[in-house]
Amino acid sequence: MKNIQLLILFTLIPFVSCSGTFKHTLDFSPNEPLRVAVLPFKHIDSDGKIIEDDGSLLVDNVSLISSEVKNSPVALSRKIVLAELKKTSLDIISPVLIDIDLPHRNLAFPDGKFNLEKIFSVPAKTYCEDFLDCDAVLFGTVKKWDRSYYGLQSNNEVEIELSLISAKTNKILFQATANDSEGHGLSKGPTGYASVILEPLKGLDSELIEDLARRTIAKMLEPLRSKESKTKDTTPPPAIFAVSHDAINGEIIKGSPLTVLAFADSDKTASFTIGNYVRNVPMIETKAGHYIGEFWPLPEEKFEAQSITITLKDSNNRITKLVVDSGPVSLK
Amino acid sequence: MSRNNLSKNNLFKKISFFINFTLLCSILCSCGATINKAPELDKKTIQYLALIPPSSLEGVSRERAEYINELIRYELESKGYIVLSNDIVSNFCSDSSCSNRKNLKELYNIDEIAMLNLESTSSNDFLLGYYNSISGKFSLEKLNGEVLYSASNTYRDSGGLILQSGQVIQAIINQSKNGDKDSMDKVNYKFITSLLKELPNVKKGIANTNNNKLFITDLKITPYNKTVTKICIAGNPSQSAWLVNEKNNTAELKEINSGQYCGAYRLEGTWSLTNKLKVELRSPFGDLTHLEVNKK
Repeated sequence: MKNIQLLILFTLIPFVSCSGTFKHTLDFSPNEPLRVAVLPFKHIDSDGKIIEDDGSLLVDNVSLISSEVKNSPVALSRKIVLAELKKTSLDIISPVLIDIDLPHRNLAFPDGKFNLEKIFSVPAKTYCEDFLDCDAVLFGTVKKWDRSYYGLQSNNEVEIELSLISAKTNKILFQATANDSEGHGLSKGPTGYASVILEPLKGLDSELIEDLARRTIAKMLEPLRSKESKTKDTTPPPAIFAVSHDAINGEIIKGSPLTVLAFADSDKTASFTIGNYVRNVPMIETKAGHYIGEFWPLPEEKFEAQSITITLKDSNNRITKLVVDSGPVSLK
Repeated sequence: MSRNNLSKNNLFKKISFFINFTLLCSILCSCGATINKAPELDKKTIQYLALIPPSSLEGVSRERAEYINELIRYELESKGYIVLSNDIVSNFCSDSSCSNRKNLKELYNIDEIAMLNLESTSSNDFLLGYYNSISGKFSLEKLNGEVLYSASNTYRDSGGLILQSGQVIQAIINQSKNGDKDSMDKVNYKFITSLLKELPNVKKGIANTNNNKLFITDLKITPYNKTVTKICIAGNPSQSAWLVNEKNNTAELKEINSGQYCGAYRLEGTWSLTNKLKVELRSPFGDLTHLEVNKK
């Protein structure tokens, strides 16, 4: 009996250990605010052929064990990638603008379904120069999306590849490949007879493989997060100490600038906004912590009673705003 | 009955008791989002909408609130909705109630607004277990306030040795993962997904943006006075235009005539014309086109 127990234990050790493999190459600065188009992903089989798999199993219809699958593996992976890219400095094009345009570029079939073979064969330069106005394109491939059941053990496995290609040079700026899996059942130390039977079934819950994909993709995209964003929670946000402007009685005189001053944390990016009228008028740091900006009104411009708000941004993109309490300004 | 048969019977009784108990708990605990849909929602052809950022909530940092807002945006976009740019919404709506929302129709042809009202959030880690939760309500409304879709939910995530019976090793693994600073991302993601899961997808083929292709047809750089430079571009009317420097900081060019956007700036430091500058014309929905001012 002891020998059988030992045999089971050693057989299951591979399922217990963290079996994920993550590889990446990075050939650009993650701080560079590239405008990126994330194209629809493809799902391929072991022969490299594109397949259509909605990722669902029969067990997804049993609500006590699993949840109904709303998104295919490719749709879900793309959605997770977009959410994770929010934590980087990249400027991401709205996917819906891409998806609406692809059929008009002969990259979809008559029924509206994307022609993935064609989409993946078009070079990044064509996308960015012809219709998306971007600096790079992200291609994503789902190579594995498996939920397997072995009676006393179930296993979820995902394998994903992401490639960021420069539109200018067609070079691979970033590439990441990851394979990760997670088991449920005998390998995870069941606490009773019921859990021996139930846990493998619960391991087939579609939410678990979605969680696995989310964690895998988050880890894949970690190199793209700028160094500062990884520490943003530990440092204080930027501070503004004093602000003022020089519009006497709130009147801006045509031909003369409105000058706005701010005393704040040094080495930040400062700008000011005049109500809803004009945004992001740049301010320059003339000496440490002293910022000055000018709004030069054009002859055609006019506005009434707009308040001035200073914005200070740090390298982690955290923003502090302060309204100038000298009162609103008008340009007549 | 032999001793073996008796022990087998007892074993089966125990197994069936545990299975029934677990199933009962699952039934009682399987609470999802409470969703209300107006009947006309399925017939309506909504594609463009404005997303009002969630109102601030104690205990939720601005960055976390922005992240949650972006999750809603991506979820809406994955269903085919085209969402008004954040910049425009934050400039237009002074608070989460957006009292001047009726002007959205006139300016951006928006008929519906979406918003999330965060009610509470908590994150508790007590070494042998953890419990995270977030609750709130999402609604999609017409500009007159009539609700087309609303969903409220409290999403809970718990685990660890105390709260996750059934698998000892998995409980320990989950406990260590909860210590990761991004652990709330999963909770936020699941929360948003649960709120929007019954929102219908946009019907394909409703509209396209090809008719609104953006163009910059002209760029003029002229001295405004001895120290200030005037920059003007010509392009599609009723968009937003920007001067952008190498650090991706932006300065607005105002539309002074239909399709003509200008600004006068002292171009120094990172804004100097000897640096890499470009002008951008952006639609309210994220489309853009650009022109380099000075190729370095």
